[in-house]
Amino acid sequence: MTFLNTELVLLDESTSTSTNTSAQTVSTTRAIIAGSEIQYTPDTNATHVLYQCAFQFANLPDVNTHFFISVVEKVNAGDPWSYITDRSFAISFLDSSQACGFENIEVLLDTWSGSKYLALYIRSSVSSTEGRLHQLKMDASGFNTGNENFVDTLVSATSLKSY
Amino acid sequence: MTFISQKGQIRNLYCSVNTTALKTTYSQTQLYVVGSQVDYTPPSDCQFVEYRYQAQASFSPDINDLLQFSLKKDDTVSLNPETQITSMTEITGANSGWGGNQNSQAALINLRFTLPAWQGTRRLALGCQAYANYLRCTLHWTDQFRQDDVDAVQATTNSFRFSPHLIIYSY
Repeated sequence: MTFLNTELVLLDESTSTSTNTSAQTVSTTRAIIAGSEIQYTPDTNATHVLYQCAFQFANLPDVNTHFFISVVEKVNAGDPWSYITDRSFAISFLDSSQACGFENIEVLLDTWSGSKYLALYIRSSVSSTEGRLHQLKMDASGFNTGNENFVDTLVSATSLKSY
Repeated sequence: MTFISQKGQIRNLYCSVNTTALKTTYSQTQLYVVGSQVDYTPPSDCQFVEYRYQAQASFSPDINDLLQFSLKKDDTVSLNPETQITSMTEITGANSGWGGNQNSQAALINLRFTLPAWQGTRRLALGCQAYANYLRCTLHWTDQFRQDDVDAVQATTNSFRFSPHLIIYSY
């Protein structure tokens, strides 16, 4: 998750891990991915900030998965989230793929001055491509019964200095 | 996810976000990947160069899809990748594929190549093509993405795109 051995080009980094104890449903209603939020002030000498977030997803309740994800920002905790231009993307596995996976999202952003919050918005394309986050099924008994396993969300922001 | 710098030395880092990339469909003809070009000189005491490129990929226009990426070099630093990508030299082992059968998938592709360091300046760029003309894919376009939860019909516009980025450094 982290840059190691920072020197002149890797100026600063903030990292946090969020423990999840339940699944987060991904529906057609947009929501912040639990644990994806980070407040960060770039180093004054930085040219870019690399935002990274890692999380688990699974297809259920639907066999198809089609998520829309956006990097969003705000200055103050109470502000509404704003989309960052051209920093939205899609993850999809259709045709009854029944997919799951551990996503490692990293998005390079131009630096800014002062403190800012960053996070990931997520929603499903339509009601037939919904899914869930943070949950693994460890046996054959179905979700929410038997042996569940919840996956931490990892997030970091790193100041980079490009030549 | 992790940047691991051998011996604690990440050097000559260059990174950029390309804001001009447009929806591009790749067929069997190899094309340049926008934002992947860099002229890079490793420090003389470094052993490796790490090249990373990220872009949005989508199965569109075909349900089955298979993209092939090749990192290419030009030690003359004179070729224009936009028009001469096929004249650049493929770097052995620096290839990657993405796709699937009946998968209709979209993803953020994170390409990462570790190259032996070289002397002097080398031009690097990515070429991309589909394995076959029935396995075409699209880069930089967020398939039917919308920034509100109201009008799905409007979301098919080509202007909904994802800006790719490039990161390169030595160690």
